[in-house]
Amino acid sequence: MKVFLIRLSLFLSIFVLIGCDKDDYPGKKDFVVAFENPSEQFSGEESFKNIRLVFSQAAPESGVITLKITSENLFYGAEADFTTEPEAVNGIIQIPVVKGSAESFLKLNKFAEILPGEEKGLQLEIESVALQKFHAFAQGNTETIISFSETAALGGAMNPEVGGPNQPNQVYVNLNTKSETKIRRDTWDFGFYSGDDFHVKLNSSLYMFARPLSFYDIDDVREADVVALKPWMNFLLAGSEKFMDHPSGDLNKLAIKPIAESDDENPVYLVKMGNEIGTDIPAPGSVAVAGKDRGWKKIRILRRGNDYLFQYADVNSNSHHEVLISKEDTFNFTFFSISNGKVSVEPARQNWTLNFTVTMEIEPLPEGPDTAYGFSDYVKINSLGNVKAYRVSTSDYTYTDFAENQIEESKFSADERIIGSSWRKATPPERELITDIFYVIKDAQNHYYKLRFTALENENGLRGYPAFEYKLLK
Amino acid sequence: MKCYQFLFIFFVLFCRFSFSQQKETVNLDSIQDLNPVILTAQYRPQSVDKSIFEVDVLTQSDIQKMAGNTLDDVLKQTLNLNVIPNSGEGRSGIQQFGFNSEYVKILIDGVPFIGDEGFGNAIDISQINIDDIEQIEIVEGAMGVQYGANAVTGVVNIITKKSSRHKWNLTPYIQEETLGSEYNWSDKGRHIQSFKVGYNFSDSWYGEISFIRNDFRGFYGQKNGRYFYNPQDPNDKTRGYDWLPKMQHTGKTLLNYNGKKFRAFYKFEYFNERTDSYANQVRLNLHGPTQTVDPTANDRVFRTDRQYHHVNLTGDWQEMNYSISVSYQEQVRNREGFTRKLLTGEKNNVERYDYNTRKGLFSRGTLNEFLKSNWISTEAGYEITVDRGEASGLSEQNTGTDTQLREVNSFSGFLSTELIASKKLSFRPGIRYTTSNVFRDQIALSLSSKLDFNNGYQLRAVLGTAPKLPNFEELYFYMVDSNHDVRGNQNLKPEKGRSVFLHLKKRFATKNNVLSYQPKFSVWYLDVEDKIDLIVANPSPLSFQYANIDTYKTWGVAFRNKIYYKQFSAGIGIALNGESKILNSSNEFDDDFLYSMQLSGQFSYSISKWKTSISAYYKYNGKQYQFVLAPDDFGEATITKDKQDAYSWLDLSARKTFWNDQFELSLGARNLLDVKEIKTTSTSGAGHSSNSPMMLGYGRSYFLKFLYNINF
Repeated sequence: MKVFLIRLSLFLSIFVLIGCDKDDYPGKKDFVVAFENPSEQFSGEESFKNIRLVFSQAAPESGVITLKITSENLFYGAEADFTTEPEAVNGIIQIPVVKGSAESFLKLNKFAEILPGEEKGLQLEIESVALQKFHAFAQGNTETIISFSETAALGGAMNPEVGGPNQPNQVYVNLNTKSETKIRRDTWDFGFYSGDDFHVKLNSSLYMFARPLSFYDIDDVREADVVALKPWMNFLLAGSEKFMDHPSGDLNKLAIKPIAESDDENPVYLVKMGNEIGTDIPAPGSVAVAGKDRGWKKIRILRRGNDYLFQYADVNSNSHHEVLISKEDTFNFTFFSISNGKVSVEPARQNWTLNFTVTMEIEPLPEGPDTAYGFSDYVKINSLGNVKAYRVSTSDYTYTDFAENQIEESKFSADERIIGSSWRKATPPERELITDIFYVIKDAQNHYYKLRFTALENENGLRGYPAFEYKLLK
Repeated sequence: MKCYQFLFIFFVLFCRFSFSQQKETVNLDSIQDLNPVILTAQYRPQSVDKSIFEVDVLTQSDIQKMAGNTLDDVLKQTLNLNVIPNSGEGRSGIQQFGFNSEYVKILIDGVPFIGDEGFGNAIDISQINIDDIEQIEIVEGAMGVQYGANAVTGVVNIITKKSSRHKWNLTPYIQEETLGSEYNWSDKGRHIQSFKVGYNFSDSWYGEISFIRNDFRGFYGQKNGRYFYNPQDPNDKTRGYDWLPKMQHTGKTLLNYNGKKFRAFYKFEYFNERTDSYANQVRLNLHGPTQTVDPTANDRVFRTDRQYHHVNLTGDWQEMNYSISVSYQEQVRNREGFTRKLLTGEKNNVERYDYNTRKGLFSRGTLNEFLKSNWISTEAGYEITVDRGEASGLSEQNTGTDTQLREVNSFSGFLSTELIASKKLSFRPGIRYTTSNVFRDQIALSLSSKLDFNNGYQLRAVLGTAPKLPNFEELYFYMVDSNHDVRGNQNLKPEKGRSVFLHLKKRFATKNNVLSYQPKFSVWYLDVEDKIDLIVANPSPLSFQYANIDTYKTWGVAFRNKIYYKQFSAGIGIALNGESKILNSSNEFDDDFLYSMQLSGQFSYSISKWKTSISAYYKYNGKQYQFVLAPDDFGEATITKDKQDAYSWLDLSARKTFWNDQFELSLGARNLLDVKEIKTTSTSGAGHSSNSPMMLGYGRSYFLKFLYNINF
């Protein structure tokens, strides 16, 4: 029996599992350093700038980055044009890499007075990166051009702060200055056109609809007059696209018809105020942009000289509010919110290129007719500010090789949809960045850029974290 | 697990020398039992010939020849059954007469096995280990009286072994398989190790314990494994596996008592599975300034834990037989989702929850022969199920918190009587009445009859009905947001299944049985009314809801033949099945019958001198058609006919025993015709066609199984 037990325990010992099957990920082998931006500009008042150096990963050990300064007509020294911290010795600056940190910076003090029209600057270059043992080098933005006056940015990478899967922000990006302005989508309800004509747009990012009624006195409208109309102002409903602002941005195709000179020709509109910003937490890859219903209003808009007279009320109310809204010359629109009054939303007309936003589009229903439909991660161009763009397929040119002389002037379009959603696929289960397309963009100052998207989601797969890179072509 | 197989070989050699004095003859291939004893739908164990139902049997020797490890390995060679694998989730389900796995009931020793949708249906048959199986019995047709809800297209009853002829029986084995041409000992192929100990405590008590480890390392196929990413084209979707890697552990124990007038057994099974799902899509996360990438992917791990307890008491009491089974089963399916960094393997944003949890108590008791006479025998019985299930992840909205609990408790009573009108003719009418806390009371009916002709022909007619309960998704699905509106419907009724089968067969044999031939001709009709489908509940705003709306009909004929000649045996079958769908859920449909053909052939030859048997299994699954509604070139919805290509399974194997039959070696090739995927071609009116592939297998694969029987 004893022999048998020994044998049995020998059998059983075979079935003690030994963990031989181990995961074998390659690990991060390289430590890569670059300037955050390929160019930096001193704006009028700035007396110093922190030039950031960013790393591909948190520093695994300490080390040093060696930079070289090249300058033309600018001289180093507290009594001269500029100094740096840490100090430059014979045009060489040593910047420490602190273990665990993901960036370093160099402080650049500007003393020189630059006269208008004068272009002066200097260039910083990463000469070497040395860590104790780890393989370290510079790649990407290995040099940066610092301009002491305001000039166009050379390009770089940007991550517009759309704000995650609820996409709470509209982000206005200015490629010229490589800067962004973000605003919560629910800041405004109506936009009053500042140009020569009289147009009023809805906040499509909140999924607003409007339809004219056969009333010409706002106080006459009652709930009973509109109850049958409400169900038709919705997504996935044949014909509902007629009650939304046309996505092309064409001011003559807005849901609210151009405001006529004669009051008699301006009807009362029923307005669906859309949805609040969503608060649900969706699964990775999905969005939850639409929150609670914002209810209904009735509005009427009239011309008063060069101003708008805006009347609004709850649908069943027998009185209304009135506000006079004037045009603002340097802006595309004057924005108004029923709860906050006049609000500022867009930067001035010349100060933005692209707008990242939730919006409404026209889609065909399975049976054929069109409907209004909600779109996230949408990118509109500032067509009213004279921005134009066109799409390039990577089968014609690669992004890297595309150069100034390949720009085709005839292809530029002013349609707000030209970038739109063409850079990503978002039909479940396929949610991905489209990698075989990039864009050529021209702004009002006649700067030409190439731009491609580099992310739709963040590293965890959450939507609402777009990223792109661009380069000034001329 | 490289270390593991080496140890095993060492152990085999060790045993070889230490036990070589033991001599015992194990019959390698007992001559095919021409008339096996069956249990399914019988009052008591009975031979196939005497059964009033038509039961097909897959014997243990069939299973051994195929070196089948899980149920899907063997069922795919069966006529009228298709095993439909899901390469993305690593699951396999049965398709029978065009219906999916929710319509066929899987039983183990007469007790339904717990699955995602309750007892007995929607079973992942790749999770059922078949090492301890005596035989598999397959009955076609609605069996609601005998086996309750969801036994619509048929029943697969797995009968386990409960005895051993030896005082001690120790059986270790290893099985190594290639997956297509992929195999190594570190991260490719399939590796199975098993160990079983059986012991006869006394003449009446037998106990058994076994453990099986099935390590499927995943089939790479067109993909490049878990570490891969393509910096040039992150959307090329070649990361991961064509078939996901999974690891199964099964532990089983059995305690059996076999007395003179009373038999009892307790069986316990523990099952654990881990499937690693590696996302095909990779995000590069380009760091613009340094132009470096830190790729990530959203990977998932699915885990299943299952327990199965079954106590059965069978005996004779005052001329009557009784049989009572009580079974408690539990299943937990868990999903872990996370972001994986492909460079470091680091897991972030880990979210883990149980998405399907079930606890069920099942009891079935029968009493028969209580009205005993020469011409009548009766069976009365009850069935109780208490089935508590929780399912989540039914939609992408609020996964994890949006959990649905459902408890279906049902009580059934059933009664059937076999009337022996004459020596030649017998009938068995039956009825089952079911009440439940969720659905309205259900009645299932059956009528079987058997007529023996003078010339040895036997004709059986089997009529039956069975309800099919709505599944979780149909009841509770919820996806409503500004752009969608799809909802389950808690007022759904069970679907109604009905079937009629006719079987005519005869056995021809020469004197002394050197040659025998057994043809069987079957014809059937089966339909399901009130079939649930998603309908447009409201065209504007567009919303969808599940409803009892469609009717599916199928009919078919089959001709099966068995031939035995000396050491040679063969089974050849052909079946033609037609399906028609009346889709009231759709604006337009075409309810023409669409036909598909299946062929099957099994050939086996034993060479006793060499203690070797050689077998071949062939199954042809003909083209399958389906009508689909799709937009044509002008955007108009039109009905097109989709064609799914034909495919065949061909397996070859040889089995040999050595050293007084202590060693058993099986080797063979599966899927010799190298089937990987088949095309579905849809042809629209304008003559355009589009293709979408369906993954079926991983190509021609080879296996080697090495088993050692230690008996003393």
